[in-house]
Amino acid sequence: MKRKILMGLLLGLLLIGTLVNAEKIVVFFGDWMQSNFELYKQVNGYDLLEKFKEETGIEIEPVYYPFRELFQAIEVRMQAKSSEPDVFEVDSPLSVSYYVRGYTQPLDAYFSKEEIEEIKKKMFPATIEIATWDGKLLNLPFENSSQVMFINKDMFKKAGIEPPEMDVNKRWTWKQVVDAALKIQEAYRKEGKEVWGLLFGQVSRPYQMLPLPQSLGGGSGVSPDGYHVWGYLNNEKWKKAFDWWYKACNVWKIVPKGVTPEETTYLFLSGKVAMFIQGTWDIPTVVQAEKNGELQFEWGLAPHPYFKEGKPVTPTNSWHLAVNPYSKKKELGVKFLKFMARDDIIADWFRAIGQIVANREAMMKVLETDPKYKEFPWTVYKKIVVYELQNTAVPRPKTPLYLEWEDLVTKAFEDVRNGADPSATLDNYARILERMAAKYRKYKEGK
Amino acid sequence: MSKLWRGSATLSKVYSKKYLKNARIAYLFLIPSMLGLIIFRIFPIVYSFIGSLFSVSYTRGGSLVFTGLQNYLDLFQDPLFWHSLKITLIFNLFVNPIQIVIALILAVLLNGTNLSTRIIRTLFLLPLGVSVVIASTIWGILLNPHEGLINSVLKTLGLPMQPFLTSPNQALWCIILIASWCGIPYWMIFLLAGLQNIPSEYYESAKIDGANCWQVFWYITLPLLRRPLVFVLVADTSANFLLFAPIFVLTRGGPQWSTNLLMYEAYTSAFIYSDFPRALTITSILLLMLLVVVLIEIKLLQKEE
Repeated sequence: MKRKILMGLLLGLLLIGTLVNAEKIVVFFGDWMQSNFELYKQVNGYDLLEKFKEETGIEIEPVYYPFRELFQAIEVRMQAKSSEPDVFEVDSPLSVSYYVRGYTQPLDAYFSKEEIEEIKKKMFPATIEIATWDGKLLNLPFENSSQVMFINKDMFKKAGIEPPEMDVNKRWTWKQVVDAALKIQEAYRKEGKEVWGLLFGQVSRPYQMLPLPQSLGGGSGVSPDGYHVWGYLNNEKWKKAFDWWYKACNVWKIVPKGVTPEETTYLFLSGKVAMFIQGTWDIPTVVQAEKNGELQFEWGLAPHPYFKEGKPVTPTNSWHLAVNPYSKKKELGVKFLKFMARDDIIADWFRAIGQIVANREAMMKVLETDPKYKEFPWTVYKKIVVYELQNTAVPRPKTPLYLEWEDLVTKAFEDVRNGADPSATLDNYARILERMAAKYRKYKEGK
Repeated sequence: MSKLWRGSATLSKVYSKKYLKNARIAYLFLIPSMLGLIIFRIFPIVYSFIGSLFSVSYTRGGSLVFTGLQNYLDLFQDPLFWHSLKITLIFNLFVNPIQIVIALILAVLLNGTNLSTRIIRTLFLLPLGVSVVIASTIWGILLNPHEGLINSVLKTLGLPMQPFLTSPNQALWCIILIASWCGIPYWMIFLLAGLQNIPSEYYESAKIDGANCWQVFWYITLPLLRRPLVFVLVADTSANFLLFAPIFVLTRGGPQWSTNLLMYEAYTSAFIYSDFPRALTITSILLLMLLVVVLIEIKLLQKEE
């Protein structure tokens, strides 16, 4: 009898253990999300992941990775067809690439048609566009992004130049940027000081550099069907944009070499850069530095520059949430996605983190109701960001080749920054990428 | 005669039994190391070769399909592979002799027991306490074209500032410098140990015979140092053929592919482009190449022996 009771107890414990385990999902996040969750709790007074647990009974086990390592972790787990993570963050242009590799579970089966229509209506169009392929919704857009120009007003004052204004109708051209940068550098050189006129926050990464050829009408660098590069990456407009980039780094020398994206914000904060093209996510960083008394200059914000002979184009898209097709808890994962896309959650996220979100409706509501957005620098959202997201934001190319394309186009920009011939560089990389695209063309042909 | 034969047969039986027993014990002790060797060395090599015979099929949701030697054929038609192979060979052609010659010179110079020699030896061994990743990061800061210490010194001396890691003509040399900074002290230790094993009587008799320093080095030190030298040569070649960390931390194969060693090309294929079969094909070729080079090195040194 005793043995039976003991066995029963053991079985019961095992069952409870299994049930408890079933109500827990593993989510891979970028490491910046850890501080975002903390900030969210500070501002909103509740823990986001705890709230999800309270509402659904599902516990989230977050695993944080640095930017590059996150991609590697996803690759390794998915190659091994691992059931963990159940959910992971996706850099949105990788949506198609992940899908053709079998890394993401399309969400259509888990959402009703009405729900999908509702999502599409709420979101900024570019976020849905990048997450859709063959009519399937591959993941759920969560965050979004836009770029502005941070200004060191003191440096402009020193050179006797009026800085650009926070007004999309008075947007500077790249020529104005170069002229101002040269004058500012000259003013400091007279005093024996070395400063930089222009700096790109995500220097050489296509996310930020793509508006250069796109503003000239060069296109995304990939054919519309996503399977060819030759003639798209090395067309005349791309070569013209690369020529400008070459001159900026090697002839006018207004952009520093050897500075990595991880170092750019600190270089701007140190007061050595006049114009800094960067995402709005750095606004809280600058505000914090100002509060701490670490910022020794007056600063401002202006719209992203453009080529006069072209049109304004700004970078966009950000992180989405995807479900692992090998997960044993897909339904629970989808619940988490739905929770993270909810209007109230996303509104609190935007309020706390300041990072632009994919859910337009929720973001607009906060902008309209929260008085904070009537004061500098937060006025930038209404004056510039919303306009850019609705009018000038162009997503990166939608292609199964995106992993290779992004890495090699980054290298192409980096090579030209370091003095390589712009035209020959583009031809060379276009040739390599066209060759790499062959394996995906087999996919298209069903081989 | 037959008694004698019987006696010798019994003796050999007893001897072989004892031998077998001893051998069994020896094999038992070897099992843990053999297991480690099989799991961490042999298995990955076999896995690497088998994996290179498959390709990713995107029509089947990224699953693997057997394609035989197709990956090898594709790779041999890929200009990027040939370029990386060329860079790897150039890199090894310089880095191995540089490291071994300097390590040998330092080992000979620092092979003493007095206090000043010991202090200098300790100073030379300091880089061993720093991991290659940390060393690469520090060198990256020192070699920064704008804010780096080395360019600041050059500027102070009125010399032109150098692009270092951002120049396709200088980046590979910078990697050779960093790899040597990390590697030389390590190889020096093995050579020092070899030097300290040479009996002092040889040097004393050479002195009596009136041999000069060069003759002592050439006719006594070098021949008696051959065994540790073979080990250092083989191990150093393997380490440099498979060098990865400085490239990953500092140049990512650039600028203009000038530091795109085969090992980094394999990493890029596997972890950036998610093309594991291509990566496994590259590592298989790399291992085969390394095996040939090492065999040639051993053969050459043994021949002279």
